[in-house]
Amino acid sequence: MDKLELTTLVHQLIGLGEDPGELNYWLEIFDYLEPTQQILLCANLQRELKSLQ
Amino acid sequence: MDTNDLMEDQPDINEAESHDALTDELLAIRAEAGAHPEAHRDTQATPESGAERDKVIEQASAERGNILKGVLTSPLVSNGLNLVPFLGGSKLLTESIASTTLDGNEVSGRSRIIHAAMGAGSLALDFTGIEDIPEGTMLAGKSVNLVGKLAASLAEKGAAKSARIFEISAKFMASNPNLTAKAETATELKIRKIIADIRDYPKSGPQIEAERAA
Repeated sequence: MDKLELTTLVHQLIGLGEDPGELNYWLEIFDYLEPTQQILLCANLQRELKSLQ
Repeated sequence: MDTNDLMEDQPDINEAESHDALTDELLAIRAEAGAHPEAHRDTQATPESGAERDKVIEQASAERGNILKGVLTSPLVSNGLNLVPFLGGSKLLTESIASTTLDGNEVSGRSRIIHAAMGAGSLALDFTGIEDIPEGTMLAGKSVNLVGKLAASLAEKGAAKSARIFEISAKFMASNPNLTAKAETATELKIRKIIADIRDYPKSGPQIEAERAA
């Protein structure tokens, strides 16, 4: 998942009531995470979106 | 003021005003999507589905807290800082990402970030011995600078990516001043409790030996 896809995912979650402040933090640090940490974060957000939809 | 007051972690109006531009943009996106700031608690869903949504968000946030703990305690960070960790610091980090505090209060996603950054910052508290713990405040008004100093130290050691994460964390703490102040007080209470437990440990030694002998 690239940054653009992540941003889209975050926007979807915010539309479903997630906290913009917290997710903005994750967007900001995303580029500095290790690849495995990025994968974990994306999987977490995708799971959350699926559960909320 | 009791500990429950200290651990209350809902953002207040001042913090809502301190969002940066990107957060404002994200708030606008949520407004366009028709979600109220407390949408997951709102009445457009049934109480049952609202509770279900709260649970999903809470669980996802807790998982992210665990990811953040891994980020802040990664070998890259540890090696970069070359710290002798304050005894109990890892306990603070673990508690920081728990779904509830020791006082039973729920922890929001923002508080998890702040508590985790503060837990990592506490690893850098310069204690040469538990008798050296100052009587005054250790963290109040200082945690943002403490995390910022860790960022600078990482940058000096060439760990640029880790340094940026600590910089962003310090900025996040600064933009949520009330949550940070509450976390500072709560974390300091925990540090002092850990220190008190360590100091009391020798007193309980004979009791433990007596129990073992019995």
